[in-house]
Amino acid sequence: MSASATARSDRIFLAASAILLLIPVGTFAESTYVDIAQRGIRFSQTSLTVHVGTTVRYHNQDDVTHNLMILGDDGDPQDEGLQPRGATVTKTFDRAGLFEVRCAIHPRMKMTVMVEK
Amino acid sequence: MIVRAASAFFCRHHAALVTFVCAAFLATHASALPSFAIQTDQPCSACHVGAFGPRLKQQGRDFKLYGYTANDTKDHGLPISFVAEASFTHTSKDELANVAAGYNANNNVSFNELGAFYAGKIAGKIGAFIEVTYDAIEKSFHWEDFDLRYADETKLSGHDVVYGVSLNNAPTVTDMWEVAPGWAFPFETSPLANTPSATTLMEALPGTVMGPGAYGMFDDTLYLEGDLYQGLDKSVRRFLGAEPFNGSDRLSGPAFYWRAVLQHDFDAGEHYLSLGTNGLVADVDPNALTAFGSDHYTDTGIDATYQWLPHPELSTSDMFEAHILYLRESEELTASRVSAGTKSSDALSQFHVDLTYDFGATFTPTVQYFTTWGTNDAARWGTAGGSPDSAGWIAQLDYVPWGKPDAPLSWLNGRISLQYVAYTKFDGQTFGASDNNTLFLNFTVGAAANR
Repeated sequence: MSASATARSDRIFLAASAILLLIPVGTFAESTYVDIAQRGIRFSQTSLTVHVGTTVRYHNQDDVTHNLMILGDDGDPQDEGLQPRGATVTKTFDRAGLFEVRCAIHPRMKMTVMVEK
Repeated sequence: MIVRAASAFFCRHHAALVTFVCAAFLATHASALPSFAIQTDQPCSACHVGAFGPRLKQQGRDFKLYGYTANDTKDHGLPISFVAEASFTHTSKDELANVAAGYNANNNVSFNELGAFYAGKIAGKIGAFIEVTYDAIEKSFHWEDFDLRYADETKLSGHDVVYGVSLNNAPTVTDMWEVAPGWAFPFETSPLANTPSATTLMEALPGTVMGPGAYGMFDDTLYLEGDLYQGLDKSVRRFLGAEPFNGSDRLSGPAFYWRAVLQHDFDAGEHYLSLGTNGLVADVDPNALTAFGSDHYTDTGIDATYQWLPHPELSTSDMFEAHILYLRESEELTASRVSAGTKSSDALSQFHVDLTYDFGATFTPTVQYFTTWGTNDAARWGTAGGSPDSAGWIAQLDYVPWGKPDAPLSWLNGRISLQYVAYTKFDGQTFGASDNNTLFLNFTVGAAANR
């Protein structure tokens, strides 16, 4: 193999490697996950700060049904529905702002999510 | 029920001083209310010790604090429940007098009562807990609990506050701890067995009064409540079944009830501790007569509850509970001294301590020591020696097969209770006190009309 051919194949390999490396980096940046446990009729965290696009996974580890109610600063509650025991509900926060997450069944279950740009 | 039986005994034996106690049959409280379970999509075990009311876990206290409105966001129709109760009663010695009409002197099987409840959300942040009961022993209808609430939450100087207002018919009906006989163990006692005659005004008022109250829970730590009651008019009491005969005592003015509790949970809900105090100040016209002035009552109590829940994530977790209650009543009997020949002042104290271990929200044994003592006054208490003193032990085993996450029917629950009451002193008498020892087998079933 000539020297020029070797150099060309090296460039192709480097370019391919860069592409392969960039793809997962980009995907991870757009799909950050945070896990929150619902256990003992409380959230595992009472406050959370994330970036826009972050998905929060709520894991019901109690043996009773929960509910997720998202209250944004627009004052319009968003009911994510019931969450049977063992179920996981995901919520992607796709805009900046301060949100309160509550369970309509259990008034003491509440946490805040600060979503930053 | 213990209050009801006591009131019946008192009424029969003490015509000279007809007190509120005769209306105190109203002081029993709800047991299992499946309409709550339907509204919240929760098993009874989520809110209640032993998967059956009325003893509350933290979730149950929250539900009441927030005005019975927490829900699963679905429409289940009107939150109506029915509760029926039947029992078998055996006493150590046959009842020689005061046998209820249609019953034997001993070993009675009875259908005791059927209660209908509106228990749950009305609209928005307004909820209610209202009970009407048919008493199959007395063969009469009467209202029992009435608690109409509005509750909300806010921030006050950076502190979380849950606040509410209530219209209710009894001091302590609003309570979330085990401060009153209806909420505290033993909840049910036989309506066909004698029970000690002396009771406090706080136990006797339910159903005969009505009034507004306000409460607040600050930072989930400090609870404060105040209620102002007015005696109901005679015609209203008659209509509500709260005046069994003419001339029942009545409030001569407003009565003030207060409650303060400090609470805290530790280790993510594994341990819970509350320390509380409450009190009642009221003026009463004995026999509804105003010619002799009024009697003045001051009740002051302290109580504490400890709960251990090793697995807070499981509504069926084993659970230990210890509860202690002390209540003292001071009575200035200005009117009764003239009209009934009592002393000018009397005092009555009560002390209870009980321990409970709940096995998997299914088998729940409880043991309690109780004692009542006070000043000697034959005209006041109507006992043979004039003493109100009574003491004894109660052992009870509850079995609740349903009311848990895997129960076949969420709208139905039931409890079988085997209770033994052993007296070491009864109405001032040590000798013969054990004649009143009672074995009580009780069946209670509750069903929701909504789904």
